[in-house]
Amino acid sequence: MGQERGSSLRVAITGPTSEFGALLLPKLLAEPRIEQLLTFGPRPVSGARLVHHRVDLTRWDVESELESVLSRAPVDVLYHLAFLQGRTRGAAFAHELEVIGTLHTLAAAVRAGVRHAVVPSTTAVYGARPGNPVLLGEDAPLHGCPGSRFVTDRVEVERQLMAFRRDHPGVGLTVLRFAPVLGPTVDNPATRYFRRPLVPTLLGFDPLWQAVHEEDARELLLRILDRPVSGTFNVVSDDVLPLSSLIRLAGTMPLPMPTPVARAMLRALNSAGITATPGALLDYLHYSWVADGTRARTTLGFRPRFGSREAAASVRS
Amino acid sequence: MGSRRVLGNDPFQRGAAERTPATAPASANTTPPEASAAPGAEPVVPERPPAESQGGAGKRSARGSPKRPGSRKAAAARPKEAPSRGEKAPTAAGPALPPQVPLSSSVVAEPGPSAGPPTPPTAPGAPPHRAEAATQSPTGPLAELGHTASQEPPPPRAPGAPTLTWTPLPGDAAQGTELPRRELGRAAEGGEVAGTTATASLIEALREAPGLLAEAWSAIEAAVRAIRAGLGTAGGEQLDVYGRDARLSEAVAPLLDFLYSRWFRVEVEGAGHVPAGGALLVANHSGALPLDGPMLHEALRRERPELPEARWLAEDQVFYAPLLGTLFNRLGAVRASPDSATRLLAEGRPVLIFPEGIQGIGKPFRDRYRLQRFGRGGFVKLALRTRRPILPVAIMGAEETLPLLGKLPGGLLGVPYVPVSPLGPLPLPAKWRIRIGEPIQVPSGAKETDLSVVESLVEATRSTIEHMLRELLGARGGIFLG
Repeated sequence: MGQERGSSLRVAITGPTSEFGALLLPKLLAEPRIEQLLTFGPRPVSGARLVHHRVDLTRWDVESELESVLSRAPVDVLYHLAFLQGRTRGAAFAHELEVIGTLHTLAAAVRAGVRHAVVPSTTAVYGARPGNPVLLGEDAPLHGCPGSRFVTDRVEVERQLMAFRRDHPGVGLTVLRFAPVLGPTVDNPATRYFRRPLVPTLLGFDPLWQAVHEEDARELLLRILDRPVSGTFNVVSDDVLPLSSLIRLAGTMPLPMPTPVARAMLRALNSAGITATPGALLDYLHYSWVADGTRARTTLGFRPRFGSREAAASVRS
Repeated sequence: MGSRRVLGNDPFQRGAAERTPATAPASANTTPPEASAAPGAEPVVPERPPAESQGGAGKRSARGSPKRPGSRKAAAARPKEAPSRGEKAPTAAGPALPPQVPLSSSVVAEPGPSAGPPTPPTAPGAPPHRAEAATQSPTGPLAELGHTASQEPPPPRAPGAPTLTWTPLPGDAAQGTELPRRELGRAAEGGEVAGTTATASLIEALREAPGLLAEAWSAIEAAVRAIRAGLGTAGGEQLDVYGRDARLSEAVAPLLDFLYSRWFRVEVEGAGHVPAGGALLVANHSGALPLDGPMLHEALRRERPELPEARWLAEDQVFYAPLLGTLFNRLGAVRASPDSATRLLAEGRPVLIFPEGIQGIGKPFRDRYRLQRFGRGGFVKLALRTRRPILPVAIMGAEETLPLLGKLPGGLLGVPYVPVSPLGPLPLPAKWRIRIGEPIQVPSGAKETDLSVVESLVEATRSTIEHMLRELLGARGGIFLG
C-alpha cells in the first residue's frame, strides 16, 4: 500500500527527540519514499525534507496548532512518540504530556484527516501480578501498576486509544506494546536498570522477562509505513528469560534483597526524596509478565532479528 | 527369559559398580552392560500393562536407566562425571564448593551407613532398612503386591526362578545395594558365623561406597545449583514460556534421581493408563513442602518417556513462595490456572493437578491421608471443556516424607506460614508408592456449567483416590520400608 504511493508519503512525528523518536527519525530521514516529514517537539531537529514545528503538547491550545499544520496536506502516517521515559520534571508534567498530549494529538489528527496513527505503549500496562496467565494476549485486562505514575499514565493513554478506536473507526490506529526496549543507544527505565553496577532484585524470585532489541523496535515502527494495519500488538522477541539472566547478560550483577527489606528501603528513600522510584514497581521484579507476540508476527509480519538475550547483551556498552 | 536377563543384569551392574570407582576408563565399560541389559528388558515390556502392579518395579530400573543418558546411566559412571563437572563450571560452582565439603561427608554417610559406624542421627534412616529388607518382613503385606522379601534370597542359588525379576527396591537393581543383601542371604543359608557375614557385607558396602559417594556428591552439587536457581541469582538462558529451564532440569537430575530412586524408592503402578494427547492426573497433595509434584513429574518422565513432558500445577502459595516457587517453576511447575492448564493440555501434555491445593499440604500430620476439599472442581470443568480424561492418582509416602508438625508465621518471607518438619526442609526417607488409576472419561455432551455432573465427577475422582490410598496404606509394611 505504501509502496503504491511511491515517494508521496507524508509522515508526521510528535516527540522526535523522545526514546522512539530518536530511534526512528534517522531511518525516516533516510527513507526515499517520504516526501515530507513533519516533526513536532520542544527541541529542534533538522534534516532534508523535514519541517520542524516547535510545539508544547501540554498547552491547552496545542490541538488547533497541530491541526492547522497537519491539515495543510494530508498526512499518511502520524507517529505519536511524545512519551517520557521515566526521568521527568515532575509527575504532573508527565501526566499532562503523556495523557493530555495524546488526547490533543489524536483529536488534531482526526480533524486534520490523518489516515493512520501509530502509538507506542509498553507490555508493562498488563501489570506484573500473581494472577497473570502464562502468556498475556493483547486482550488481557490492563491492570497496570497502581502506585507507579509511569505505568498508570500509560494505562490511561491506552484507555484513550481504545476509546479513540471506538469513536473514530475511520482513522487507522496501531498500538505497539513493546517489551522493554534494550539497546546501546536507547535510554529508558529498563536500560537504566540494567546499566547499574549492582542491579537490585528480590531474593528468591526470578520472574520471566522479555525484551526487544532497539533495532527490531525501529524496524517494526518503520514497517508500519508499508503495512498500516490497525490494532494492538505485543512486540516481544522470541525468547523468555529470567531476570537474573538478563542482568548477567547486560554485564552487571544482581543484588538480591529480601522482598520486605527492598520495599521498606524504597519507601524510606521515597519519603526522604532521594529517589522517586515507587515501591510498586518491585512487582515487575517479583512476578512474571510475559506477553504473547503471536499477533504481531502473523499480522504485521514482525520477525525480530534479535532475542531477549542479544537485546540484554547490547545494553553493555 | 526376559526376566532372567533382568536378573542377569545384576552381575553386570555389580561388575560396573566395582570397576567404576577403581578405574577411570570404567565409564566405557559401564555403558555396554546397560546397553545389553536394555534389549533384555524390552521383551518384558508388553507384559507389563496387564501385570501392572509391581511389575514395573524391577523392569523400570532396567528400562529407566537408558532413558536419561545424562543421569541414571551416569550414575554408574559418576566417578568420571564428578570431576568433569568440577572442571566444567569452575567459575560458577567454584566458590560454592569448599563449604560443601563438610556437608557432603555427613550426607554421604547416609546412603551407605552399613559401610561403617554410621552417624547416630542418620541411623534410623533408609539404608539400614535396605539391609533388613532382605531378612525381615517376609510375611509383610508386600506379599499382596506380588513380591516378598522371602522370595528374594533365592536369586543367588536359583537364578532361573522367574519370580526373581521382582526386585523390591527398584533403585537398587541398578546399583550395588543388591550386593549386601545377597551376601546376607547366602550367609544365612550357609550358616556362617554372624561375624563373617558382617565383615562380608561391610566389605561389599565399602566397595560400593565410592559409587554411592559420587552419586550423593553429584546430588549435593545439584542441590546447590537448585538453590542458586531458586534464589534468583543464577537464571538459565533456555526457558520455555512456562519458565521451565531444560538445562537446569538436567543439572538437577542427579538430585531428583537420588531422591526418586534412592531416598524415596518411588514405585509407580499404572503408568500405562496415561493416554497420549493430554490428560489430567489428579492426585492427593501432601508434605510440608510439596515434593509430590516433582516426584510425580519424574515418575512420568521415567515411565512414559514417549509422552510429551508433563507439567504440574502449583497453587499460588507455593508458586510465589520465595526460592521454592522459583525453583519449582524452573523445573516444570506452572501456576495453577484454567488457561495455563488448557494451554498445556492443548500441547498434548499430561497435566498434574493437586486439587486440594494449600489445604492438602497445610494439614497437620495427624490428618495425613485424609483428603481435603477438592477445590471448587476446577479440574472437572477443565476436563469437560477440553474433553480430556481424568486419571485419579494416589501418592503414598509424601505425608511421612515431610510431616507438617507446626507452622511458624511467614509474613517476613512472603509466605502464608513456614512449615515445621522434623529435619527442616530435608525430607525423611519414607517409601513412596504412586498408583495411577484407570482413566475416568468425562461423559460426552456434558457441559462444565452442569454442576451436578461436575459434582459427581469430583466425587468419583475423590473416592477413587481415597480407595487407592487405603489400598496402598493397607498393603504398606512400614513407613520407611514400604
